[in-house]
Amino acid sequence: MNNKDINEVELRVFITAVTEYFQALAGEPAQVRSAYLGTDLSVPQSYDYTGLITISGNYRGCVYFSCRQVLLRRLLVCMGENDHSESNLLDAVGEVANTISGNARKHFGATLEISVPVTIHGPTESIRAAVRARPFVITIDWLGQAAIVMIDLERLV
Amino acid sequence: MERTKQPKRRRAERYRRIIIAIGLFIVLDLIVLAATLFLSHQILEDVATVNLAGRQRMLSQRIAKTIYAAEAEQSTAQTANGTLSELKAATALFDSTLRGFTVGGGTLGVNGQELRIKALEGEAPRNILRRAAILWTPYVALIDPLTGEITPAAETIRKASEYSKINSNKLLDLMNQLTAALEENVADKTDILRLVQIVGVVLALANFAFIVFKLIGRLRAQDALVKQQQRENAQIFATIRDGLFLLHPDGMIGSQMSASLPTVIGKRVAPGDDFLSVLETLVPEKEHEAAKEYISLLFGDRVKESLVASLNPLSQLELRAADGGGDVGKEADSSASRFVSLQFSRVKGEKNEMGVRQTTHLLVTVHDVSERVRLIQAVKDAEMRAQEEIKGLLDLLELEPAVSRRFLNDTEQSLDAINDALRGAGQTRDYPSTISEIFRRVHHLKGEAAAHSLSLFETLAHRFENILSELRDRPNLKGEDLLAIPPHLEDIYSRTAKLRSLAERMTSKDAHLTQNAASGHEFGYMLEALAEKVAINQKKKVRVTADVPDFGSLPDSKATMLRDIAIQLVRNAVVHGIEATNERVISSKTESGNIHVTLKRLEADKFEFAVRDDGRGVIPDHIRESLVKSGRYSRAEADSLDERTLVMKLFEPGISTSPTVDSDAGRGVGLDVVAEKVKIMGAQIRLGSRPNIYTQFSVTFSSAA
Repeated sequence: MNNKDINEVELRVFITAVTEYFQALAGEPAQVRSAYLGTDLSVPQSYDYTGLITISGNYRGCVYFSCRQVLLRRLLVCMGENDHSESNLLDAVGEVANTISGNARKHFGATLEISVPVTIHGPTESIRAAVRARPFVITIDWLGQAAIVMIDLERLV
Repeated sequence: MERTKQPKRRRAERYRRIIIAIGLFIVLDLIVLAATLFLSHQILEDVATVNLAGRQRMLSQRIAKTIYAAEAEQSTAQTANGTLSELKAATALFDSTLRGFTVGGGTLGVNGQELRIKALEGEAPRNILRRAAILWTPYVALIDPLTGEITPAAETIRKASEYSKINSNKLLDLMNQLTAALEENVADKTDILRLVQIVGVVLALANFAFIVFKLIGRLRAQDALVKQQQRENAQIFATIRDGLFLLHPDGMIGSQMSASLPTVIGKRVAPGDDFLSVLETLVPEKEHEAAKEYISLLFGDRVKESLVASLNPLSQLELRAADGGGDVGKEADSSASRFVSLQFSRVKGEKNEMGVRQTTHLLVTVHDVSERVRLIQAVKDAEMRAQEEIKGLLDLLELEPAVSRRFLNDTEQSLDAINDALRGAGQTRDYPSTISEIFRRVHHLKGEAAAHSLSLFETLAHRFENILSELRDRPNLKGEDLLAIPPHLEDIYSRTAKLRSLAERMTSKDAHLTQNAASGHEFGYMLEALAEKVAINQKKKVRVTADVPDFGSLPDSKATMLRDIAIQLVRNAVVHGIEATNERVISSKTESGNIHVTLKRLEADKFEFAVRDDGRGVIPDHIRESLVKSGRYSRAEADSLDERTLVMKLFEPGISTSPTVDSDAGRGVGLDVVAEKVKIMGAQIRLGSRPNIYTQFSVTFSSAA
């Protein structure tokens, strides 16, 4: 493999952050369903809430978490939040992205520059495949609800 | 040598003032001491003189008293000798003392011993002595007769008595004055002595104060310097990014070490720790032993430092993570190996009795070279990858473009299918079946790569199989385990795309050259070169003649397809038609096989392209064997086919009459490609052949689009 390609260990850094976040919040970890290479049709249109972080430094690209509204509602319930307004839903998806960011910083150190999470409600075509021809897509399942983590990242050094 | 003199000179310069001050202090003390001794001695002499002067007063009174006593005795006619003797002694003592005071000489001291006295100096004493001499000279003249006779005459006594009555008190007064004058002289000298002592002590104290002030100043400056050096050392040790410390001969880490040392080695460590024990937890036993021996060698002083440095076994050390608790790792990339380089420099002490400076410590620097090692490894990996890709590209170029394109297409389709299987696993969650399916596809890909001698793809598929094999054997396979697959899949995807891009660029360049050939000559040359290359591979001899003058007039689309057809047919003629040299000789043919390529214009836009060889011809039984070997036909079915049908089977994919598979034939794709192109061109193909005489493929086509 090219030494600048993302390897399994690095993929796990991002995924572990998400699965452990759900475990800590609800006592039930998210399960990885599959991992594959993304194409234009990789992200279901129904995954309409996205939390995205952009990364620079030794790596370049972005990582984002997308899911349906129902998953975020369950997440808010677990957090004891009854207000399921749009802003709270976006905050919830941003919090997941923030957790990915924190774990990445812990693992890769200060050489990784990570943006504050950007939250999006709606289609994600405009942010797809900024760096890789085929980004890594990991589908996860939490309490019967599906979500994806898209890793569109390349190592520069 | 010069270097050692410089600090000594600077040190002497620094202490010059203090040394001068101490010297001055000693000189002052000596001067005061000498002055005191000198003046004391003089005072002692003067005090003796004062005592003598005081005795003169007493003697003047004793002389008068004894004269009066002698006169009284004489009146009673009983003059005693004792009185006269006393007069004589007192007179003699007074006289010798007065003479001594005046001109110097001997007399008896107050203790009765002989004494030398100096003539008195100074105006006042000399004046008193002169006046005393005026009184004493007649006085002694009157006394002398009294002391010379046993019974002096009454008249003599009377004259002496009268003179004494008049002058005795005057003489006493003069002796008093003399005593006072001498006492005043002593007092003056005592004052001088006191003054000298006071001045000396004051100067000495001032000098002492100067020395103390200078010393305290110097000590303060030195203290400040030491503090500054300590502060700077602390700053250096706190700031330096490398591990730095002094190693004692007993293996102990010195009292100071850089703050970064624990971070660099990834383990908590403190001054006073045993270095080798720390190292033991970080490196394998073999390297720990090597470190132990090397450090011992460095302290040994028997081997030159430059030579020892070249033997350093610790210049690149891979550290393992310390056992729980004590490790201080960088949080970043904790999974990566860490490499450090340990460098040692000898620290020499003072010279011993043999004049040799022995090693007292080792200065140890620990650099984190993980990044350097990683970069070297990255460069090696990149070189290996580039070599693999060049080899892959060359392997691809060895193949016919149509074959290589088909392989790359097939590969990408396989990869797409693998990716689809991964994506589908999210729904089915039947992970063992997914892995098995991917395994089959990768294995097929590996087989195809091997069949086409594409070692790069074979290697990539093999590595992929290793991962899959490990996953297949894993119990309770989970979705998370699939994370290992996409990186490998992506690697093959990206390499396939890259090779496709490179190969297309290179073959399109060849095609461009061919298409741009102004005449059929270059097309003919290309076919000759191809035939020659294939003949060398097949260990045959061939001669190609090309008569294709109208090739340049064909439209590009037709020329490109005809070129592909010609390549396959010429290759086919060399591999299948032309016999081996010895076979041709037995058949009474020339050693070199002949291949004739022609392009004839039949009508305005109608052409016939033909490739004819004088080889063994098409042998129906060979085709039957191939059909049976392919597994598509039974022996009986193959035997039932007529010759025309048999010949048409040659154009089916997967049918080859070649007994072996190599880069030129055996995979049954050559005539398959020809048939495909003929179909696209809307052409017709005919095959004519006579065993052991010739084989000719003729393609008739229209140049119109």
